[in-house]
Amino acid sequence: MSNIWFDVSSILEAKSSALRSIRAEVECAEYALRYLGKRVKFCRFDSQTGYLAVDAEFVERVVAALAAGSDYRGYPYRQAKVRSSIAVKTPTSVRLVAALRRVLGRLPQPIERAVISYLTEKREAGEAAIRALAEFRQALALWRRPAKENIRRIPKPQTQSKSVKFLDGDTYISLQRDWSQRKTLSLSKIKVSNEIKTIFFCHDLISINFPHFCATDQSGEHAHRLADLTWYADEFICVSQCTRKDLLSFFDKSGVPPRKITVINPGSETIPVGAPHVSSHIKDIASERFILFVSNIECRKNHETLYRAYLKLIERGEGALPKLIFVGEEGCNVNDFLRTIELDPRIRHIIYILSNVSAADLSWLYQKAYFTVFPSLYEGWADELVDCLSAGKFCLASNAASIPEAGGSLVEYIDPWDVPRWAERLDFYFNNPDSIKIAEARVSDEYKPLTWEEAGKQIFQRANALRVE
Amino acid sequence: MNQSEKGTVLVLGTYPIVEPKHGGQIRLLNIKRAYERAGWTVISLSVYSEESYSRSSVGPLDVPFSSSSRYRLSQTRLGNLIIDFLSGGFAAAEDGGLRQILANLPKGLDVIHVEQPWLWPLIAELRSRTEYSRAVLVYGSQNIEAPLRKCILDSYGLEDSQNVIAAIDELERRAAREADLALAVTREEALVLSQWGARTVLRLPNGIEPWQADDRLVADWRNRLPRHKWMIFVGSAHPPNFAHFMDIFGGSLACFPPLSRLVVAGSVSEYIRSVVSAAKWSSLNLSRLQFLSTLSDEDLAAVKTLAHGFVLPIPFGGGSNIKTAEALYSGKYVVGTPAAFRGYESFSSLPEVKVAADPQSFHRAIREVVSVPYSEPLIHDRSGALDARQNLQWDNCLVDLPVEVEKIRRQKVYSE
Repeated sequence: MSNIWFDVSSILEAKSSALRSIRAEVECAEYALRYLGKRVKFCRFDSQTGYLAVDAEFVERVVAALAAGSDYRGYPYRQAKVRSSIAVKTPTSVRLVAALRRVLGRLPQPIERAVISYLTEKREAGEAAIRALAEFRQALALWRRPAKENIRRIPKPQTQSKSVKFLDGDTYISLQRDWSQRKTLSLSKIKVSNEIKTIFFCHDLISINFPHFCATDQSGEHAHRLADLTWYADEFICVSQCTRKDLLSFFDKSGVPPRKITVINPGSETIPVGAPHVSSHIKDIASERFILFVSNIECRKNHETLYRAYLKLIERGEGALPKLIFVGEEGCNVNDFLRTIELDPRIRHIIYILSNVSAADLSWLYQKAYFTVFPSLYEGWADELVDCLSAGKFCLASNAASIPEAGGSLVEYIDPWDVPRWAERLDFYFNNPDSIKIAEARVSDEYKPLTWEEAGKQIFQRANALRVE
Repeated sequence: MNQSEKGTVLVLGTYPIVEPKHGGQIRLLNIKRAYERAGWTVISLSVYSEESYSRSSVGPLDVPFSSSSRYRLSQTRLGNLIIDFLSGGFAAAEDGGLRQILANLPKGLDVIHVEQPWLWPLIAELRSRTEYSRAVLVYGSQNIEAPLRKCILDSYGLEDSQNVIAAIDELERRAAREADLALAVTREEALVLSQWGARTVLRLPNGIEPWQADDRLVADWRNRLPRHKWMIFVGSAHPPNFAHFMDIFGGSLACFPPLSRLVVAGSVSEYIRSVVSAAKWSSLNLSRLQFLSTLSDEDLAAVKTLAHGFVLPIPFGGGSNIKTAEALYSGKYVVGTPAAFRGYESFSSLPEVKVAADPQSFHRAIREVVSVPYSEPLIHDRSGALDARQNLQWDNCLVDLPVEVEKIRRQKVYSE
C-alpha cells in the first residue's frame, strides 16, 4: 500500500514570527491530521541523515503550539508592543554628519575645506561603517535580551527518529519555499532508486525574475535551485495563474523538462472584529478618517505611488485629506523613501508608519479604516489584499501580476505607476463615501474566500491523483 | 609511369603539421598523406605565427613569421586577429620570408598546393619564376573566409575592418581564378568558387581518423567522468567555438539533469569557462559543465569512447567541421546547430542526429538524448549508415585529389 509523505521540515524549524511563510504547511498538516489519518505520513529532512519519519502526534503538538502563539492565524506569532509611529528616526549617518559639520565649522576655512574634501571621498566607506556598527549594536541587544514570556516554546523534534523508507508508488509533498542543494541531492538518490512521485510548491519567481525587488541579487542561485528541483518534480502547485505563467516561462527559458502545474490559491480566514485590548496609542493615531495599507515596506510594495498621489492632491489644494497609515516592517531598498517621508513637511502629519502592530490593533485598524489600498508592483499571491477583503473592506489596488486574481471583481484596479490616476480615484472616494458603502456591501455579500481546509483538501487530492496515474 | 616518378608537390599553409591539433592542421596533414599514398614526393612548408607554435611542433622547412616583423600590425587588436592574412605579404617579400622560403625549395616543382588563400601572394611570386612557372596550382579553400572573418571581427566589436575584409575577399577571388584546381569542402563553397571563375572545382569534405581507445585509459577516465549519461564538446580556441556558446543554449544549460554534464575538451575549455562565468545564471551553468582542457590523442580517444553523445554548438561558418565528422563517425548521439552539419547534410536524417536551430530545440534535443538508454554505437550496424560513416575517413574523402591533379598535369603537358 503506497503512502503520501508530507514534509513538515519548515514547521519543525519555525521559531516564532513570520508564520505567514509557513502557513500553507501548517494548515495542510492540520488538514491531514484531522481528515486523512494514517493515509498521510509525516517526514522531515535532516542534512546529516536524510529523510526522517515524524510521528503524527508530534506534528499535532507542534501545530498546536504554533497556533497558540498568535491571536489568530497568519499574524505575527510574537506579541510585541506598538512602536512609536510618529516619525522615522533620523538616520545615524545624518546625525553624525550634522555633528561633524558643527565641529568643522570651528576650524579655519582652508583646513575645513581640505577635511571636507577628504571626507567626501570617503563618504561611502563611512556610511557602510555606520551601518555595520548599527547592525552590531542590534545584534548585541538581541543577544542579551531574555526570551519573551509570551513566546510559546516549540517542542524539540525527537532525537531517535527513523529513516523514511520510500516505496514504489509513494507520493512526496513539500510546500517548503527554500530548498538546499543537499536536500535536492538526497531526493535525487531517492528518485533514482524508487518510483515515487513528487509535488513541490511555487509561490512566486520574484527573486529570479525581479532581483531588483530583493535585498540582494540571488537570482542566479535561486534559478539553479529551481532548475535542479524541477528535474525531480512530477508536479508543481502554484498559488496563482500568474505564478503558473512565470513558472512555465522559466521551464521554457531554462531548458528543464516542463512539469504539470496545478493552481491552488492559498486559503484565508475571516479577520475577527471587536478585538479586545486595542492600544490607546493606535486609537489616537487612527482617531480621524484614514486609509490603510498593510504590507512590508519595501520597494516592490510601491508605497511611493501613494506618497506621490497624495502630493498631487495637496498641490491641487485638496483639503482635509484622510491620513494614510502604513502598517508593516521595514524591508529592502526603501531607506531614501522613508527619509523623504520623514522630512517632507507637506505630508509629515498625514502619512504614518506603524510596525510591530499586534493582531488586536490590526484588527481594529481594519475595522476603522475608511478603505484600504494595495499599489504593489508584483505579487505571487496578494495575501494582504485577501486580508482586506476578509475584513470586509473595499480596496483600491494595483492591476499588476496576480492581484486581480486575488481581488476578482470586488476591487478597483489601477496601473501601479499611474500616479495621476491614483490621485484621481483617491480623491473620488474621499468625496464619495456612499461609493465606499456600496463597495463594502458587495464585498460582504459576494466575497467567499477559499478556506485553508478547502486548499488543503485540493492539495492532497493532487497527491492522491498522482498515486493513481 | 613509375609510382616514384609522379613528381614533386609543395604543400603550403600558415600552420605547421608536425603535431596537428586544430582542424586546418589535420586537413593539411591528410592532404600531404593523400599525395604520398598516390606516389608523389611531398614537400611541406608553412609560414607560421612564431608565438603560436613551440619549436618541437615545427618542421625543418617551416618559416617563422615573427611578432616583431614589420609586416605585423601587432600594436592593434585587429592586427592580432588577421595574422594569417598578413603572412602572405611577409612570405612574398624579399625583406620578409621569401629568401628563406626559396632556399628551402628544390629547383622545379610539379604541383604547388596551398591551403587557404593567405599565401597566394607567395604563389604569385613563385609562379613568376621560371623554375616554378609550369607547376599545377591547387587552391584548397577550407572556407569562404571574408564573411567568416567579418563575423569574428564584428564579435570583437572591431568595426573599422572593412578594408581588411575587402582585401580578403579579393584575395580569395584571385586564388579561385588563377588556380588550375580549386578545392571546396562543402557544396555551397564549391558553388561560390565556380561563380568566382574557378576553372575546375572539386569537393573534398573533411574527414576523420578513426580512433581506437586504450582499455586501460578508458577504465581510468570512467572514474573521472560523470556516472550519469553525459555529452562532449571538443573544440579549439577558434572564436566561433565559444563566442556564441551561451546564445546557442539560450543562456541556460539546465537541459542537462543535475547529475549529468556537458564535458568540454580541447583548448576551447578555458574560453567556455570564461564566457559562462560572465553570463547570467553562471552558478547553474557551471554546475552542468566539466572542463578537461587539451588532451593527448590517446586520452581524447578514451573520453570520446565513453561519451553518450556529442554536442556541436557551432554558430556560423562556411566550411565543414572536422569535429562534426568525428561525431558522426562515432555512431553516438549528435546534437548540433544547422551550421554544424554543413557538408554533412545527408546525415541529418539519421535517428541519432538532432539538428537544433534555436535554444528551445537545443534544450529539447539534449533532454531527449540524455534520457534514452545507453546503446552501442551504430557504427557496427550493417546498414547504409555504416557505409556513410566509413566514407567519413580521410583516405576516402581525399581519394580523388591526386587523381584530379594528375589529370590536370597531363592536360597541361599535352597542351604545351
